[in-house]
Amino acid sequence: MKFIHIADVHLGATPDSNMPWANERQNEIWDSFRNVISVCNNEKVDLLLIAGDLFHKQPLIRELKEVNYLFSTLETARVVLMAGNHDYIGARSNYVDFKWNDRVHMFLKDNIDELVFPDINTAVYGLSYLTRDIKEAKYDDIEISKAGDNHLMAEPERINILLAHGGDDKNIPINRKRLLDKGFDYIALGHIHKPEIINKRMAYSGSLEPLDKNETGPRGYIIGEINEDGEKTIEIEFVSCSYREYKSIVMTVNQDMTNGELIDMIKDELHRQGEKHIYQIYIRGFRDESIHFDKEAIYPLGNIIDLIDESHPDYDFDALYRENSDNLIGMFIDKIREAKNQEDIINEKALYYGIEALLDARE
Amino acid sequence: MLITKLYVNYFGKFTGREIELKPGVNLIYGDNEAGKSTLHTFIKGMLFGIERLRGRGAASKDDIYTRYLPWAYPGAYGGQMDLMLGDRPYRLIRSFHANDKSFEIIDLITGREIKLKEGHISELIPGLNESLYRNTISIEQLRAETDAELASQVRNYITNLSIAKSREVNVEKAVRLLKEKKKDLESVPYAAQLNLLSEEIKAGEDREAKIDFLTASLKDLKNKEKYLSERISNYKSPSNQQKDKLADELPVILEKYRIYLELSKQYSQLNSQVEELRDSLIEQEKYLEDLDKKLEENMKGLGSKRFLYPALSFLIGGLSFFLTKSPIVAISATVILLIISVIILATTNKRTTAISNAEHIRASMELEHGYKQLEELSHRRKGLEDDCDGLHDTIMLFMQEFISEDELTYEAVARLKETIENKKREAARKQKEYNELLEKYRLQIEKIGWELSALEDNETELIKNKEQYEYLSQKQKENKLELDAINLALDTIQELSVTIHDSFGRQLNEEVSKIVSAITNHRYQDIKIDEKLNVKLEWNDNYILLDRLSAGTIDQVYFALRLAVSDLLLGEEPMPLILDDSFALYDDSRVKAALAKMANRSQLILFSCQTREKQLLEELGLDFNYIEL
Repeated sequence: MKFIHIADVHLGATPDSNMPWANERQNEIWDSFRNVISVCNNEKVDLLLIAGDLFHKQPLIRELKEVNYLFSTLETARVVLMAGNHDYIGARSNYVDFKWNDRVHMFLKDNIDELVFPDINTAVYGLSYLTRDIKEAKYDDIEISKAGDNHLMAEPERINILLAHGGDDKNIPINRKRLLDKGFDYIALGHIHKPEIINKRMAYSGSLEPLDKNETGPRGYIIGEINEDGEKTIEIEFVSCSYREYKSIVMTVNQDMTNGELIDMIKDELHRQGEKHIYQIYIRGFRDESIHFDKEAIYPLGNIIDLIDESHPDYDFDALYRENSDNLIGMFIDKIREAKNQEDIINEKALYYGIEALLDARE
Repeated sequence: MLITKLYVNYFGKFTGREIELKPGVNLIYGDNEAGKSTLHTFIKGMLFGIERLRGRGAASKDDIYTRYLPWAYPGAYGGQMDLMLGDRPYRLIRSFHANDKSFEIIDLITGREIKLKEGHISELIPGLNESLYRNTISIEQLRAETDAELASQVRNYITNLSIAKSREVNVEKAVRLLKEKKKDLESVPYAAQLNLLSEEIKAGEDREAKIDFLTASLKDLKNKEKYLSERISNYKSPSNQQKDKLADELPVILEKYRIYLELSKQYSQLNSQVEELRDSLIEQEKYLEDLDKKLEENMKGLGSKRFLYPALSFLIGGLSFFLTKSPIVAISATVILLIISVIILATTNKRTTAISNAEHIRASMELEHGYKQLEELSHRRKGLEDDCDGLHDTIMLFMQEFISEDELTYEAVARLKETIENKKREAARKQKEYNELLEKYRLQIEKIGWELSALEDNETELIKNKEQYEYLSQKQKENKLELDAINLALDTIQELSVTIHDSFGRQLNEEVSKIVSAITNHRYQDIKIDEKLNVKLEWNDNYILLDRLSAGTIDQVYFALRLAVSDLLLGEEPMPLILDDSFALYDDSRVKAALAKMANRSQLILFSCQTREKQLLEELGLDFNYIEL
């Protein structure tokens, strides 16, 4: 049984809406989703699992139709999807009355339900979000056992998959270890946008495209196969497929670095890592006391969403301290370094702020 | 530190001049222009170098470099100075010329050069710098002309003294710089923006709830509308329509009923006619029977009359005989009567038979005619009966569609009429009601549709606001971090400067008090320098502000301050004290007191253009090294 697991597609999202590349990003989210559909066909997968938040917000009818059309182009795969905290099935949800084509199966209840596909000997368990926030750990108590009071009669010889969305305080907290012990052959998780293979049998596929500058690193889907010859075995693999990545890069400067040099350095780095990506650039290191880097000149160099200058003037605090041990500068360095009650970062920043001011105020 | 020897090689007007200085008091005497200031500057230059000013400052009268550039050999601009630090002798060798600047320190015991990283004397003598030197070690001629100006100079001086430990740092400027930065950071109103955003988010969420509510209402209304439409169209369904049509036939039925009544009436009339006729026919038949009987009887009755009439004639004849007694009469009468009787009998018999026969024929015909008529009437009656029955059945059938009634009565028809009319009225009323309700629903649906379309962007807006809130919260956090750091720096600097000022101030008060007390012959024993740098002197249990005192006294306090500060700041390494005509405003007794006070210092270098100091030193019986320029 071959499957593809995606989550958090967030169709309809508009990342970086005030940036020049906003429109492209919006389209790329759809394109990426289309790509996964064609991957499903090329790989002849049996099941496309969508672990919530297919849409960024309440889907419009026409959006559902569009998606339904795309699903209808699937040649081998059945689709199992659930609503997440973004596209939750509220009072006005268009999910409720929507007629999906026969390939598509959606969980519509807010307690665990079962979908059985005898031809691939597979059962998928799951629920949907009916409200925005669910703080109850709904997955922690599910029991998939042959005997038992639960109406869910899982058969061990079948492939049992759990489709789940959550994992933080507001959105169904998940006890990973406990969930893993429930005996599912695979747990397809959604909600956390960073892909994470927790175990061969449990993974976050992450979002299909990164949606926020903090979502750095590759994004894509998980493809897997469960083999039923004898003992069930599973192989899964994360496949990166996003159009772009958010990248956080650090440019380290030194006392000799000028504005022009930094610009060239950044240009080279953007070129090397790929100009389509979106960057958060940190300037770190020690600059000449008199140089201030010109942010306005750097932003136009590429898709730069953030430029954070954390470089420090090149002070040698030990030398400053030695030379000024008996005066205010020395006393200041000493006192700040002694101040253990504050966070290190504040201390360090205070040191720079203070020394800069004190040195500037030297007569 | 002791300055032991000056080698003024090429400096200002001096060339190759060597001056030896000793521990204790050195008095350098010279007229005006003799070179006292040159020597003074030389010492300072040897310690800190002389920088050539650039641009505008160059060649101005403030430009010390140019002022002391040796006239004959500018390239040789420089000199040497021997020092004693503790027990160790050093030689400072400097070349001042801008093109050939150099500074060396030689350890005179080992003969080795001391490596200097930055070429600064503080590397040899920690803490020694130009401003400290200028403010404490070297006390130049006073420039103040007025008391007020002097007082403000003192105040400035104390300001600088209180931060002298920060060397050349201007604490106020540092604080100002930090406060500017802080203000910049505080200028972004994160809290207000976040407040606004959270209000908007709250409003957005409320609107979301409203959308949910409206959507649910819309759904409900649409269901109601559908149900109602169905009911309305159900009402128009074939079966209902049939019934309606049927009901519409009421006038016809009523007309039929009217006809039915009419026909019924006719029928009963006809019926009575028939009965009448039948009765009369029975009578007629009887009559005919009688007639037949009579006829028969007549035939029999004629015999009897044949006897009757003669009998009668005889009777009458007898009677007439009896009456007339005449037999003739009686016989004649009888004969006449007999003849009449015979005649009557003969004619009557004939006539009676003829009449009877005609009557019989007439009555028979009449009867036959009556039967025919009866048949016709019965036939007509049957027709009427059938018509009535037909109408009755139709009406009853119709009636039973609406009400259950067994008999066709006027009341029943009235009830039917009323029922149908009621029904129609009810239907019309319902129809109207439904239509109104439907219209109401449609209006509401339209209204909700509008409201919803106005709220269409709410969710997007809400998500955006939430993202913005996250973003701003993060920024605020970052900003707060910077602010915390700046505040920490600020607090630390202010705290330190207060600490310095406090500890320094206390000692300063004590030291200044001692010196002033000595110089003024214990006239002023207690001097306080507060945190606002006001100097107050205690006199007769009162504290007098410094600027209330005479210029001389102010100058002495100023002088005392210098001494005190020098002792405080460079206490560990005894420093020379260089005085350049510092006693100009002092009266003799105070100069004497000051000299006495300073005589125990490790090294005192006094520049003077007056002989007063020499006399006073001699009067005091102090040893001193006298150098005349």
